[in-house]
This record gives sequence, structure tokens and C-alpha cells, in this order.
Amino acid sequence: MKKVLSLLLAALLIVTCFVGCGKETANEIFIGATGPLTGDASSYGNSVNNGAMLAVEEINAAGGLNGINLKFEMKDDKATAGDAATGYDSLMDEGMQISLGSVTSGSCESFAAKSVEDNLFFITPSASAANVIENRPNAFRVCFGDPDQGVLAVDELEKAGYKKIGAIYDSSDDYSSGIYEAFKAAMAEKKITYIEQSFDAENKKDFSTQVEALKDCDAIFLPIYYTEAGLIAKACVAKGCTAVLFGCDGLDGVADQIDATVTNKISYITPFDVNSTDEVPAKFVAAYKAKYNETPDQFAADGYDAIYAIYEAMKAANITDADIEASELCEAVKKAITDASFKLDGATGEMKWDASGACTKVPQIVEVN
Amino acid sequence: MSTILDGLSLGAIYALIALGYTMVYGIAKMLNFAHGDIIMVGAYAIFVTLASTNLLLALVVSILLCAVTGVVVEKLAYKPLRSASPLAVLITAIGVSYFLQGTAQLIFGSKSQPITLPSLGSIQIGNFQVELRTVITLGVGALLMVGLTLFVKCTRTGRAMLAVSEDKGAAQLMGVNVNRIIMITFAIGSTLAACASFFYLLQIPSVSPTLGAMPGIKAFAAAVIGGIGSIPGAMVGGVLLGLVEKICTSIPVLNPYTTAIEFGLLIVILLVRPIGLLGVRRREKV
Repeated sequence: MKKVLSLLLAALLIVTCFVGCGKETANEIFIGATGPLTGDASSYGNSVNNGAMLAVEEINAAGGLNGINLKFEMKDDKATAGDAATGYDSLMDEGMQISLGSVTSGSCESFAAKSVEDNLFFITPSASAANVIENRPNAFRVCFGDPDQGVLAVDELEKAGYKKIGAIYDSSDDYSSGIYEAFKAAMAEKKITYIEQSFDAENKKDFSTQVEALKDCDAIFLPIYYTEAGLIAKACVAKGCTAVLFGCDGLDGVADQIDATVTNKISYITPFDVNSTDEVPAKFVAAYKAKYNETPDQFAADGYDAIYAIYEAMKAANITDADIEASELCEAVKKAITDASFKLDGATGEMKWDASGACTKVPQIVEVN
Repeated sequence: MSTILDGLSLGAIYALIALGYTMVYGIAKMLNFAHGDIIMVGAYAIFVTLASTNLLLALVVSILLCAVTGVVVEKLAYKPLRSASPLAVLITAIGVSYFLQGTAQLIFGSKSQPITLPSLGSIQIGNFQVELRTVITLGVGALLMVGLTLFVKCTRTGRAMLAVSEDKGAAQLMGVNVNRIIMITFAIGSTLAACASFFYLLQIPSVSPTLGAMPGIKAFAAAVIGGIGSIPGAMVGGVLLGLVEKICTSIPVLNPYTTAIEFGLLIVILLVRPIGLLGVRRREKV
């Protein structure tokens, strides 16, 4: 019995040897990422993962990059900086050559700090905090930065010509505060007055007081996530407030949080409209629905676009060697993606990148009801 | 003015939850930290049954389910620990709290879901529009408080509860079925939680697995402020905390510190009057 077992183990050892070897010679470029696949923020990580996997499958089915297949893997970081760093190390051990960074800002900050040392190119689909790509030549992103959205919102509000504007933001959240600070500065610059209200992580259920203070406003700016926005809309109904509710891409998903009693007009700035009739987004939405049997959100679209951005940039750089070193690949892709002639027509619109790593694209206003 | 009304309305909800805490603590001498999560159970019960039936039936189902959950939790988790140290019971209660939250997350997912309750409308009092739900929440809270006080003072079971609270061993010797009394206490406490969940949903029309956690902790603070174990104290503490919360939220300078001020109040009251506002000092017999 013991002999059989040891033989079996020996055989297993030899087989695993070959598995390892197989990886070495495979004609693949390895794209790594970390994101929350479990825990509270898991919906973001899973969306990005699904979107990215879909893009990789499409590219490989169409013959890959000059005959080289793409391989994508996301390690679970539970949206924590520590796990993102661990994930980075194990991805590097497994031979990561290029990356989507991390899904959430806090994780991506720690991922980015490590990637600079290795000069690994990454383009984060969704980490929107300003500092993630700052002073990091190897760091790029697909989504809008938080401050950009605040400035865009001021433009839209000014264009609509509202007389009395209010704003409610989450003072305990980086995303919300990031947008709000830029919004505040831009409003001050344009000398538009407004009424400020806030809430924090401990008090984000009951909004009667905030809505009461903004009852007479024409428009309320909500740089927050959809769950709280839905509650604010309901509080508006209870208080008889008819203001237009206007927010940023965090409001994507608010439609499921409101019901027929809500009569306030709700709209938000986003680069991705799931009902878009444009060719690329429509094709993406159809393919995503067919594969996962659910409607994609903005994170899925960002993940999808990030993979295509890497693919198109590598194609433009004419990468033909599957075993290329991360640092060498980084220089080539960086040069290609920041080239004036490079643009990507993705699910989140037409995108261009400059050396700062920020993405330029045209925002759309999506109306919920 | 409207801030004060909002505060009263929120305070009444805290008061209802605090009543549950205080009942259980007063009689079983244990802190049932899973009480907030019983509210969550009640809220989901309303959420699910409302989809197919009317509000009244949903409320009945919610009350029954909460009472059953409360009794089952007591039987399975707390009863075996009757003679264990209070700390063990406390930690078990926290475990039960996580267990209930986790179960809800498994069944309903972690996303919060909106719920549509019929609007109760509002009435005109003097110059002010007062939402009817505020009046009803306060009214029901006060009614339950009086009812509970009478129940404890005047009925046989109530007096048995007092006896258990005073001295478990002695009560048992006098022929009181301690386990039955504690079970009834849990059933009543959980029924109160179901009522609280209904008023909570009127104010905040959305359900999520963690919805009971924060109100639970705040109501616990309210119960301690009012004097834990004291039924009128829970009411006073709850309303006071609700008012403080809403007034702080409405003043922009204080807004970011709302939660800190609320719990600061708890600390101050414990320093000045450790037994709480309406608590009764009990002389330890040697």
C-alpha cells in the first residue's frame, strides 16, 4: 500500500513538473489584477473580472495578439491594501507581464506603489482616486478621476441654469469627498452659491434632516453611491421636495433603489450607458448578457475597456514576443498608448490617454426616469 | 421645528428598540446584542410578505417570526449558558448577531433593497405639517411603555418576571418557572423589535442585512442613558438620543460629529449618574 502511494506521489511530482514547464513555453501574455471578489465590495471586483474575462475571450477567439493569446487572472484583495500587495507579489511570481492594477482606490494605491519599482505597466479600470496615477509614469486608468467628475458636474449644473442648488456628500468616503472637494472649488471659482449638507458612514440611512434643509432647491447634487441616493429620493418624496437629483457614476444602479412613488427627476454623469445604441457598447452589453445572464454595470464596462486598451496598445507597439519582460513591455506600451494617434473606441466611449495616465473621454448624462 | 419632529420620530424608534433591550436586561440580566438583528429579521419578514399580501398581515407575520426567532435564539444560544459568566453570554450574543446577519446575507444578498410602504400622509397641527407616522410611532411607543409597565406590575406573569429579576434562585424556590419566564421575556422583547422594524421601515424604506446593527447600538446607548432595566427610562433615553441626533445633523458645524456627540452624551451621563436618568439604585445585600 505504502509503495503504491509513494509511486503515485512520485508520478504526481513528475506531472506537476511538466505543468510548470507547460506554462513557461505557452504562447501567452499574462495580465494580472487584484480586486474584491469576496466581501462587501465584491460586486465591483466581480463585475470588472467578468468584463475583463469577456474581452480576453473575444480577443483570443479572434486570433489573439499577433498569434499570442492573452491570459487574465484577478486575485482576491477584499478591497484591502494589504491583500492587494500580497496579490501583487504572487502575480509577479506567476509571471505577470502587464496589469489592470486594482479595482478599488485603496488597494490600487498599494498595488501602484509596488508596480513602480518593477516598472510594470498597469491601467486600472475603476480606481478613481486622484493619487493612484499621480507621479507614476507606469500608471494609467480607464474611468474618470474623482475630481474630474466634480468639475464636469459644475459645468452641467451651470448649463441647466438652476437657481437654487444643494449638495449632499458622504464626508467619510474618499470617492464622495474627492468629487465634492473639486465641485466645491469649481463652484467657488464660478461664484455659484449652493447649500452644503453631508452625512457619514454611521448616519447614512435617515436623510430627513438633510432633505429638509434643501427642500426648496431646484437641483440637488449627489456625489455619492446609489444606495444612499435611493434613500434620499425617498426622503424627498416624504418631505415633498421636487428638486432634480443629479449625481456622478456612483449613481449607476439607483434605478433598482427607487419605486413609482419617486417623482423627482434623477440623472447622472457617466461614461457608460447600458441602453446606448452606439455600436461598441451595444455589442458589449449583448455579449455580456449572453455570457453572464445579467446586465453589465459600469465596472464591467471599465474592465472590458481596460483589456482592450492593453490589447490595442500592444498591437500598436507591435509586440510579437510572448516572453517579453514586464519592464520592456511597459516602455513599449506606454509609448504606444500616449501616442497622439492612439484612440480606443470602447464600451465607455472614445478614449485617449496622455502621459499623466488620465483618460480623456466624453461623459454622457443618463436619465433614470 | 421640523427637525424636532424628525428627531421625535427617530427617537420613538430608538425608544421601541431600547424597550426590548431593557426588558431582557432587566429580567434575564443579560445584554442581548442580537436584538438589533431581530429588527432586521422583522424588516425582511415585512419585505417578503408585503410582496404578496397586505400590510396588516405582513405586520402579523413579522411579529410572529420575530417572537419565534427570539425564543429559538434564547433556547439554543443563551439557555445552555444560564449559569455561565456574563461575559460568555455577552460574547455569545455578539455571535448570534453575526449569525443572523450572515444568514440574511446568504438568503437575500448583501445589497440593500428598497421597499414601498403605503404613505400615511400628514396632518396639520397649528402652522406645522406633521407626518402621521411621527405621531403614530410616538403614540405606539408611549402605549407600549404604559402597557408593559402595567403588565409587569399587575399580572401574575409580570410579577413572576420581577421576582426572577430580583433573585433567580429564590424565585425558583418560590415555584416560579424561571426558564418559562425568561422565554416569555424574549418573546415580548422580540415582538417589540418587530414593531420597531415596521416604524423603522416607515422612516427608512430600504432593507439590508446590516440594517439593525447601528440602530441596535444606538438604542442600547439610549437604554443605558435612560437607566438600563427601567421601562420609562428606555423611552426617555430613546427620544432624547433621537432629538440629539437630528439637531446635531441639522447644524452644519456639528454634523460631522453627530455620532461622537451621541455617544459622548452616553459617557457624560454615565459619569454624572452611572445608573442612568431613571435608573433605580439597588442596594447590594451582603
